[in-house]
Amino acid sequence: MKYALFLLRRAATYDRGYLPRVAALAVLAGLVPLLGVVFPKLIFDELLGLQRLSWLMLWVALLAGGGWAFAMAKAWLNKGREAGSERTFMGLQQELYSKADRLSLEVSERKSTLDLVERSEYGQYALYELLQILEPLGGAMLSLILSLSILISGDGWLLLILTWLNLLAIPSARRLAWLEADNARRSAAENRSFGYFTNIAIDFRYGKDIRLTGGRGLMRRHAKQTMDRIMRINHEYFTKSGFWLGLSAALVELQTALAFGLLALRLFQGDLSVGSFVLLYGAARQYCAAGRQLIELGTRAAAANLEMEPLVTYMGLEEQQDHGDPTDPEVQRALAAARAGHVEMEGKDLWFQYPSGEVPVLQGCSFHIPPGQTLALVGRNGAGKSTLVKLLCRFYEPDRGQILLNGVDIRRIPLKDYHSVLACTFQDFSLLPVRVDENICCKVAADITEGDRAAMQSAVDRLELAAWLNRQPRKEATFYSRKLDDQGVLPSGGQAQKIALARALCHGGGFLMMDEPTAALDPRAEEEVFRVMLQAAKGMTALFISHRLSSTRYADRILVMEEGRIAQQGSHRQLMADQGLYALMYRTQAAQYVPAEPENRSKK
Amino acid sequence: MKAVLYLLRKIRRYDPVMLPIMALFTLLWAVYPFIWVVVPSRILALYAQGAQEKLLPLMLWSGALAVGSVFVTTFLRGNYRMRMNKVRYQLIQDLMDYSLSMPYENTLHESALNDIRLARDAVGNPTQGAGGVILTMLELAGGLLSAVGFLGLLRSLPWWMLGAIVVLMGLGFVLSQRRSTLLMQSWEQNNPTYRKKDAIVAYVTDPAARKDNILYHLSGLIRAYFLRLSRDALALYQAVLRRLFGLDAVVALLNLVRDGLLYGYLVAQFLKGRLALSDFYLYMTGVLSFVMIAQQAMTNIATIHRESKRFACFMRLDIKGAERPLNAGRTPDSVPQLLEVQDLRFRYPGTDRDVIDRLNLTIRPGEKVALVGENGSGKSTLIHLLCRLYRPTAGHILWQGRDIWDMPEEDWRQMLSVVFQDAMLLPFSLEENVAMEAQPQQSAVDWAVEQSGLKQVADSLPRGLHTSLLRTLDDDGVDLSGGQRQQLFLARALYKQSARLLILDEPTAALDALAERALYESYAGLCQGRSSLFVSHRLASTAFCDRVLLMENGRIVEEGSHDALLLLGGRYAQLYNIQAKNYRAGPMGEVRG
Repeated sequence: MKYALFLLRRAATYDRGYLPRVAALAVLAGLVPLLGVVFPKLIFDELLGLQRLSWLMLWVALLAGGGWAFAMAKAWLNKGREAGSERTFMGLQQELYSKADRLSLEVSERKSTLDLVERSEYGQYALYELLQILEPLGGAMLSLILSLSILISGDGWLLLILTWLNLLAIPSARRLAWLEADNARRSAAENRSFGYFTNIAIDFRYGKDIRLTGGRGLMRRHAKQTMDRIMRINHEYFTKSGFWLGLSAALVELQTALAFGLLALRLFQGDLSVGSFVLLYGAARQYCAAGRQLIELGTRAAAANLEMEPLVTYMGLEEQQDHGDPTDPEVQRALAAARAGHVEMEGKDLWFQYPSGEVPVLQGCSFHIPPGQTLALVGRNGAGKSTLVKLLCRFYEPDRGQILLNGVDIRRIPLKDYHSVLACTFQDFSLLPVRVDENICCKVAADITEGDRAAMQSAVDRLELAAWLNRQPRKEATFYSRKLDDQGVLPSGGQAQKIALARALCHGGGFLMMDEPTAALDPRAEEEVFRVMLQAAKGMTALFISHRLSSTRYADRILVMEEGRIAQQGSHRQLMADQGLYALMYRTQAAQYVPAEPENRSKK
Repeated sequence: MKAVLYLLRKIRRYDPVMLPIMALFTLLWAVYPFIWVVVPSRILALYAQGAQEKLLPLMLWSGALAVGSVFVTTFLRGNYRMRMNKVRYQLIQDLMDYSLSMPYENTLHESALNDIRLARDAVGNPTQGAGGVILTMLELAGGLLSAVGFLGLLRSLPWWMLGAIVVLMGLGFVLSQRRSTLLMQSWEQNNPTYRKKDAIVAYVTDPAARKDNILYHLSGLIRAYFLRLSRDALALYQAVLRRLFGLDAVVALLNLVRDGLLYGYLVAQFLKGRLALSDFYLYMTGVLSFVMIAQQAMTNIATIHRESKRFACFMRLDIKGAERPLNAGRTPDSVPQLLEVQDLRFRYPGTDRDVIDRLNLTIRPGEKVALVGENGSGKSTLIHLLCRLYRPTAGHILWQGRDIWDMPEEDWRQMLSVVFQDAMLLPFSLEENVAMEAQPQQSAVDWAVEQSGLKQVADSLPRGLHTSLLRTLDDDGVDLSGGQRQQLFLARALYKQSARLLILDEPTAALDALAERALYESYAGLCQGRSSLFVSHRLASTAFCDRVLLMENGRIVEEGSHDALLLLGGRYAQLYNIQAKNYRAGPMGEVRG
């Protein structure tokens, strides 16, 4: 039960009133059945004895009124409990996403982490299930103890028989718990596949390919195979667990029958009054019912416990380490210079290999970006360009070698301070589905200051985004995408990339980095984004990656990457003269655009 | 009722064993509740008579019946649930089949998409829709039988007493239904808020968004939204909880009245000597059992009613469940034919503009044609129309003079090989991804893989062509890079040897300069024996085509060879120069401006 206990302790901190309420409800659930055991005995005693009307009325009133009082108490507690359950899940979600936020990119991109995130979702359901079980489980325990104490006071033999039979139930409970775990393990992957095929029906991203290639038969065959496999696992599980569940239930029933026979015998022998017979019979029924409930709920709790494992494992994942020292005078000097606009980046003999990779992506990569210069990074697919950018962003740490900002190893700089120096956009940039100004300033609207607005305005102006923004119904308060707001807008790729660029500029860092910012754009938009971007980059230290070599000519210097290191560097002219990879790639592209003939006519 | 009958038919078809299971379960389920109400009362009666010799047989029979029926019902319930899932999986497969063979243009209608989503919800969850109806059905008949039986048992109670019990129970039931309706409504009301919350939280765990998230410290912004949305949802829920408390209080009061009446009456009758002790016991426990069983039965009816409504979304789609033929009836043409597009118009539903506007074009047999134009000019829509994925608003697409809408769908489809810009990998083996058939033809796969250059990729993988792609279904699956994906989609297009028209939509967007050129160079070979249409916004990539079509605002505005269009000096030349000017020699400083 260790995962369950861990999460319950956490849950207790999200809403302190929650678990006490559940405990109170459990006590109620344990006490309610007792009403129906104790008062009928008192009524029977009275009916067969003195038949005093006032006492009879009292017992009837207590039996009926007690039920009412318990029901009211339960309803009242329930109101608070339900709200508490909502708050608890809010708390859990919040804890989970702050955890996600503290993971390094490397950890969060791992396949194992992605799996954990996916399985954690079931873990949340399991916690929900557990919280639902707690009340009846506690009730059953209390009820078991109470009916047991009645039985002890009444008949030792009875207790002996019942307890012995209860012990018999333990092996089958164990067996059930094992079956449950085994089933969960075996069906996890299959259920994921099943979810995939279920979603195929509503996911039309595959629709065109499947229609044109006749892939329906393939899809159908895989779906059928998966479902047949699930059915086989299910068949085995339900057959076995049905047998053991049936056996446990039958044992409980046997207890009732035996208890009943014994009590009846003693009633006939005159050892018991009718009232005591009713009381003990009721207690025995209750004892058995509670026992049966305990077995069932216990099995469910055990299954829920197992499903919470990924959640707990996720919460324990190692978090991003920050070895930066803000008090280091060299760090302070480097940062102060960077904030004043002086950014000089240097990479020395960088080596890097992805944990899952077979060969190092970076193999002794060295480079130097002088302050105020714009550099282009080019190379073939897979040469390591994007990896280098990720290292510069400190998403990963190099295996060997170091990166220097104004002469200081960036690992010595606190992460947050280092990031404040960067202004980055990627081809796969993501904007939040919130207001445009919130996206650009990275703050909630209420927190955006006049200074932020001025910075945003300047970035918007420099990127020639103002006209588009003014056309929107609610200007900069318009939401990006319709996920949170029905009147949100979905700008074209070029406009969206400009919003992301505005965010980068507004962020205020002196080092501009762009990884293929225009790959998804059409030529006109590409041209425009490059033009405004380079204007904005003036005076900043900048590094950009592009497959369109025409744009690299704008750079002060070009770095050509090949097999994880900088193979060539220099100006466009120098590199063209070198006849290396750059010249080859450039000529290949240019050949499409520079036919022999129309040279002169092309100028506007 | 219609849903119940429909599902019973499906049960008979997919797993008829469920029917005898239901019958046996019903019998035992109906009998069981009586055992421990009737037997104690019988014992008290025997005790009053002093008939001890009848005790043992009574105990043996009742004990055996109770133990046996509990074992059997518990076992059957699990087994029935498993079989219910089997039926449900079949329905899901039927739905999948329906969705995959539904006219693609239906996806343009939000209502059609929504219908399918609702149908999925109607079969996707074991306790809702089909699953809910089938599961609840099991207990219903037994419960109803029990309830009737108990009424018979209690028949000697005075009519006003029975009447009061039934009325109070009915009221309690109505209130409990009101309770669940309120809860459902509050969930529905809160649903958009939850969806928004999920949408914003997804940005934290989504690895694609992590980079921006780390660099720009977006967590504060996300938290603010999360808290705001959570608070909204909670406030709404709390208001509902207050109303639920009111309902619960009324229900508790009704029960108080019922119990007070019953116990008071029983005690009074006993004191007057009109009631035997055994009957006193029988009525006291019998009434409570009756109320519980009857309420459960009513709840089950309400559940079946509710889930039937949900399931109606599935029935509405008119899913046949019969497998439609997968193969075309006609042998494909052995050579490419003339393709003509005449006055084609297309307008997306709910819009007021023709995206394709009286468009005409011709592709001669075996010709290589390039289709260029800016984003939004209608290129993708035209491809959808050529593929018969959308039905034209007006105009014709003719193949060898015959309208493609006049031939069977599969006949036209087998004539086409298409690589869409947003083509997808399937999480199956590499080979299956190429062939897209359950039984790939080995020689054709080998040829396609060789031609497209995918062979090197396959050779580098541990299980070659049998390696699974993606990790959706197989933990050992591999992902492909952008360039490798392009090669795979090409191989997919080549595998389809019946195709006489090849359509490639932006195949080079993700490729580097050298890979791009390699594709262009192999293009002529790929087009062997086929007409082809190459769509791109990179104008230069069209130089190797026989003819270039420039599209703008849903029409072909310029047409001719690359060189001829440049000489013309129109739109094509203008767009071309935007892309070309940076490749031309010129003083560096000037360009940088």
